[in-house]
Amino acid sequence: MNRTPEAKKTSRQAAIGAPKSLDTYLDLIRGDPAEFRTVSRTVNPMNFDVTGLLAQLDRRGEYPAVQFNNPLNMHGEPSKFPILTNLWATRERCAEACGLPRSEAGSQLGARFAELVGRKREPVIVSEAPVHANVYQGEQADLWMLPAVRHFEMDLGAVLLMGLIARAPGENFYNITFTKTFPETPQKGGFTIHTPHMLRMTRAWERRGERCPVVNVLGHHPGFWLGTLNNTPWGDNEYATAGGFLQEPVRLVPSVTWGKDFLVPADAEIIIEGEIVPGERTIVNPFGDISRQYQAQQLAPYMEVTAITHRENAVLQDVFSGHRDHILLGSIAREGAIYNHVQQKFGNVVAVHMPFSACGRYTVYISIKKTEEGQAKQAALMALAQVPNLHVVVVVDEDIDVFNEEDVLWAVNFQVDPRRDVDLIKNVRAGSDPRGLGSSRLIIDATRPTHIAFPTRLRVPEEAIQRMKLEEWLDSIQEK
Amino acid sequence: MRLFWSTCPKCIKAFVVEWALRHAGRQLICPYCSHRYLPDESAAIDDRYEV
Repeated sequence: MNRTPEAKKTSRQAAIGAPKSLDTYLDLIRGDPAEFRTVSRTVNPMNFDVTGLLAQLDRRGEYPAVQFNNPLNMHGEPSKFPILTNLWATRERCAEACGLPRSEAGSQLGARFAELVGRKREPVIVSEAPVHANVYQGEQADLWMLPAVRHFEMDLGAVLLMGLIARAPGENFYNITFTKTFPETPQKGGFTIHTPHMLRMTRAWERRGERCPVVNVLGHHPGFWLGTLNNTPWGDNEYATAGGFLQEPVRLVPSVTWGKDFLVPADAEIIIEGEIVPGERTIVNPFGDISRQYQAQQLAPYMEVTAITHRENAVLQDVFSGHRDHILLGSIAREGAIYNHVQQKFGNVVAVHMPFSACGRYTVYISIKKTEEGQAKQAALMALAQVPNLHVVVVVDEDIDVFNEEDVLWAVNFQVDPRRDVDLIKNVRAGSDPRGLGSSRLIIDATRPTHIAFPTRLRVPEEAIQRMKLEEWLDSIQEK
Repeated sequence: MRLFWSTCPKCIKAFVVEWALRHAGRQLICPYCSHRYLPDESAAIDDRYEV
């Protein structure tokens, strides 16, 4: 039977003061068709029905979160889990998830991110959890009961995106990182890891020849996820960082498989508990990733599923890879990290933006209040050190709007002498992404030179712009 | 990162593979038709590489 969004809403109406969850966030946007749309017809996510619809919205420049209420699961049967995707596709929704008003989705958002990173809230342990309302173990723990999405035509198959949680042997802090799991069989999923802390943890278990406990979380409040995107130092408990972003402690509960030895988020939607088999590898990829290219087929570790748990009326969260949903998910965190890093050193950063044109990962525009020559290059070098996969850094003056790419490219075209203002940084570690572009980086100092007499940009006096109000001065349009 | 393109001998569609799998003795999986085969059984291989 098809479910209507109204029916689901009634069954999951979030109580006032309830712990933050995906549902409590969705309550903020459900009534606004510009922000939240539903699809009640049956879709087959393995046959590109989900990404086909999202791609059309993208072409129209519309970015609502979309909930598919009646998808098929990987067995080709009606799934009991709706799919929610495109949640992070606007800066305004990301601002809201960080506790900012929608009007502060520009440079304020990166600064807010930088602020929240330092506001850790230690998690609390509870004995009962919504995510344990339904528990499957043994053969009942079937990955294929989930409506996993196949995104792009060359993808090896459907994937479960969202976060993987692990901890190193003998340590009591947790790392959370976005990854993708290919449900190869109902009880086995290969996955790739792209962050250094998670790699260090999983390799530590493998060196001991022991199975590494991991948890795949397939849905939570967007603030929880934004809090996990920080490049935090080794030893930081990312549950505490996520709590800072939620502005309340993350509630944890002992896992079904390992009890108190591995704590899982109590207010998540769906959790897969599993163990990575040491020394074993399976085939994963191709997969269309952030750079809008395919990650190549490769060997990767896999987990054997030990349990699947979910809350009542759980929703499977997905990310529209390589598109705004995916781009903003990481770019805002990196904007905040670069802002923090450069600002702490120089105190002259105005704004930081990682544009859609470079998939929010590979180019950063930084505006500074320059007081002497050389500052732009110093800021750029610090950004490169902070975000290793950066490819191009452009530094501009404070009067250039880094959120307006036309403005930035004006500065590049009219304030940059390539011989003087462009630096090629060689022999940097090559990125692990599919771009295949090697190990060099580019710095462009597009600030106005101050050591020579140099032209300045034309400007209509701001006082005149404010004085000539359109509604007062333009003649009204005459109807023919 | 060094890559190569393998053309599936069954459906004759090409996909991208990490170089580490070129001589690893592991079967590739065609993302279009799920056929499993060794890289040397590819209908074609493009492994051009800039040194």
